[in-house]
Amino acid sequence: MSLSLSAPHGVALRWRFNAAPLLPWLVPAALILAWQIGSDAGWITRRTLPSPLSIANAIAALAWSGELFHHAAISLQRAVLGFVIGGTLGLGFGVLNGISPLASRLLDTTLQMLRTIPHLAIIPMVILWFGIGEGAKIFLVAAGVFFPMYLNTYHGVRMADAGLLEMGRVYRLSGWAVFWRVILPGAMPSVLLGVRYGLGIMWLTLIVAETISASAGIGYMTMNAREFLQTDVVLAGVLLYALLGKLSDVAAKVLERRCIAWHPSFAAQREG
Amino acid sequence: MLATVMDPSVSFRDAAPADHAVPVSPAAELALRGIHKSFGGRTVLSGLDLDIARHSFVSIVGRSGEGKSTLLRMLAGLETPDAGGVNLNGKPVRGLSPDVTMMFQDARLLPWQTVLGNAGIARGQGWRREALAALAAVGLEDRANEWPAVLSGGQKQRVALARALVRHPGLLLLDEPFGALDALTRADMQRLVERLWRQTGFTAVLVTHDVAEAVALSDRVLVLRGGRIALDLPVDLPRPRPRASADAAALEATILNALLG
Repeated sequence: MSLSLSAPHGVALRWRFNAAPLLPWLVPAALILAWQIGSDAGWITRRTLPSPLSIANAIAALAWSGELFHHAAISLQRAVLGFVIGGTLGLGFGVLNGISPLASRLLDTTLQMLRTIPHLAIIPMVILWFGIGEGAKIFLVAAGVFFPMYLNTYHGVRMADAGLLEMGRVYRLSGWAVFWRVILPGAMPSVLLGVRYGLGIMWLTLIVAETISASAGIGYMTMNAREFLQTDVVLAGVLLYALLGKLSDVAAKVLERRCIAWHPSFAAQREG
Repeated sequence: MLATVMDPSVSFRDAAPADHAVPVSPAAELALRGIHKSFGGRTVLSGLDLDIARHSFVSIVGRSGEGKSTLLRMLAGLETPDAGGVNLNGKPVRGLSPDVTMMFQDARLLPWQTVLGNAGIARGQGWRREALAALAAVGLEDRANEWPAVLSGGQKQRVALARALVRHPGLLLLDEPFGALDALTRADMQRLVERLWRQTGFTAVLVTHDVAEAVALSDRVLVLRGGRIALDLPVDLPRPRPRASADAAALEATILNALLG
């Protein structure tokens, strides 16, 4: 749906305005405008909800002092470390149980039982084990990311195409070649689904963990601001989480495009 | 080596004889003795004896569930007989042989590998050159870097055929590879397989439910019924074979009668 103006007699105007990409932003922009107006008019009290402009000011001040980047960097570091540890373990166990019936019989029931425990429920234990240091937060993120990665990898490997596996036998591919060229690429869409689930859980876990006990990080920043009723800083922290969450989602999509470019939905695009 | 016998300038539609062609690998011969096979108490093959000569083109026809595919999979080493033995070039078959390759009903290409990567699946020494030559032989060298997802059904089967050729098979097993194709594509594929068989000189065993296809392609048609060979009919027609000739029609009638019992 584009608004394009063209003059009669087929003479195209040089100026063309394409409104289509802006359309999805119309409603959020209107809401923010209404919010600002509401705050200025005094309909919304500052303690309930600070105005968009004051949040922008808070963000600018935090960025200027360097506090914003300091806390964001620490949160990001925890997220990445926890994700890498939990994701690698989940991938490893998923592959192991997917290709080895013995390992699957030995481990899958145990892992499925552990999966049903909400990982945030063990926070008191985690604090006992790791104290309130970095270890506790990284452990919680890793535990949260492990299960979606494990389940999706396991499922993807188990669903390997029997016809392709038989083709691999006829062409006498080695066990390694079958794994790297037949099983793993086939499991990739499922693994990437695990990555996206895992990324969502990663931020959620980190928000909770940082809110409970931390001396740095976005969660700490917002909790600290709450003590002083700096609601604008609290909302700046929320926005920062949203931004980081969106960034990781974009990263997952880029990864998906690179890893499964062969998939009919992408392959057809390249052709067309 | 492939390139010398598979001239890329020859279109795959061109079924002209290539008498100068030399076999790229010694064609295999097969001997089956007293083959029994049953699945869950249901006998599929019972006391089957069969000899297949080097460089012959043999078709196996039969109704569904009469064990055509089981027999073919046994030749591939994918199934083991309950009793009896299969000899390939005088040696008993145990498991999969490097000399034997198979085309399936579906192309079974790896969707995440390019056409070239699929043709050269075994990744031997110089596989790129070999795979390109084989793709040229099936008329797909210009699609080498595309994903299988963008190919038509017939093109996918041609890639599968190129993949089989890269292995220089002594024995090529064809498990109804044209069954899912439309009539015109099927006729193209039949001519392509016939031409490559004549040029490269492998032994071919084709399982099909299409009697006309069996008569058009093979030297010998076997009708499988009740776990045994009910009819062993030589097809002594000159090649290239004209479509729908009276001789072919007579042979087809004989086969159909044997099929229907």
